[in-house]
Amino acid sequence: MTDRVEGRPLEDVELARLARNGDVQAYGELVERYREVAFRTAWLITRSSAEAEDAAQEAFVKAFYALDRFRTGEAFRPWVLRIVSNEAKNRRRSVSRRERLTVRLAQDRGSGDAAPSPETAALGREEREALLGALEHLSEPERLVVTYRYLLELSEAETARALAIRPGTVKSRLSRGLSKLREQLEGSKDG
Amino acid sequence: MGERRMTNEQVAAALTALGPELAFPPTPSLRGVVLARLETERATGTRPVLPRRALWSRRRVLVLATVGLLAALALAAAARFTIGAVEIRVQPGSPPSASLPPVTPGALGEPVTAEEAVALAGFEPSLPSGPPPDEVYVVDSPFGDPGLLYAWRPSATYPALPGTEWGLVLIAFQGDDEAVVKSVQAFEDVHAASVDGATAVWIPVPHVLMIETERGTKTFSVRGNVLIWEVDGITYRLETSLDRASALEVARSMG
Repeated sequence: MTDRVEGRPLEDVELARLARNGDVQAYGELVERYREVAFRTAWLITRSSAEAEDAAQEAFVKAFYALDRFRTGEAFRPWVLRIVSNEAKNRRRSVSRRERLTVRLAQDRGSGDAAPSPETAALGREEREALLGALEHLSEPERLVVTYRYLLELSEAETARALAIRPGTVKSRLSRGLSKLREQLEGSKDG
Repeated sequence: MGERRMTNEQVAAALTALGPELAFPPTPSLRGVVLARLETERATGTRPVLPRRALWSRRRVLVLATVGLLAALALAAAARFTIGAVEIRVQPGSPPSASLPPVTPGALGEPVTAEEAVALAGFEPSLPSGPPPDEVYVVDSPFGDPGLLYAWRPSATYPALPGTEWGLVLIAFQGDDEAVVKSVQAFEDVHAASVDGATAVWIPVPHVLMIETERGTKTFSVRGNVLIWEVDGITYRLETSLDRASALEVARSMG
């Protein structure tokens, strides 16, 4: 804790270095920085708030002990999300009731939230629900790639790292997943 | 989205725009509880930090074999090493729990024909020259490269593995460019061996086997003898009741 520069947030790699040397407060900053995406990453797999919380917590603990394997030059976020994903996969079988993706109601948005983008504004509520419903019909490998990439806004490289699959596999699953979503949406309109 | 046909790019844009609109469950505060656990575990020593003497790290760990029964060696610290797609961690501690199941092929994937297996996995491992396997499974890996599992029923050639309905279990994973293959020094229950010149290890003691699959991590108790080696980018793990010399003979027959 001696080599921090006041006023400047430390880079992930620096926090990881401090944590590796025993500075748990530095590690706490990393936890705080990535707890939301970690929890959501786990939730997209388990679809259980309780299991996702446990998975994220356990993953952060395991990641601390694995910091020796976090390599210089590597990005911390996909590295820790990989651990989170695996922890979540180990827990999803105990989930009996899966929580569903839903859209926030207008009154749930804070005044500081951005207004819906033109793309979503152009989607009616039914169409947004149809999109979410179509997501649920994808196979799990495809759904995870699509949701990590677009709903969590991870890059393709981060998605590959987090799910421990090859970048080419991310591309192929994205392509297949988007095609299936498009077909489902068009089918629902035609029907 | 109107009446016109959509493109994949439009679906992607709609998903991206939808992200901020989703009602994810509220994110719990994790910092406090994580740090409390770390402090507690540090104070009580319930989970010591992995030692720096870990020999080689490996980004893609497909299989992790934790070798038990080493407490008597009084090793001061844990260590791990890799051979092809297999990481072996040597650590003092308890022997495998009796509650763990033996290697159960059906827990790892669906049975397929040998031809389907090769087509699905995208590589064709060598097989022993003896009788053909009775069952073949594709092991879906979270890393994207499936593994293959071949299982033989007990026979005069392959005596039964303790506690299982199998006589021989062969697992093959296609390695990757980052594979590091080295031998380990002075770990008396993990023996260096050689299969036609390829570095191998022979593990004749009970241990725990964990395989990461797309269905999660599968953990097994291994009671048989295990030979691990890598050749032509494919890592083989052979589990058998045969002794070392006979197991090596089986492995060499795969050349």
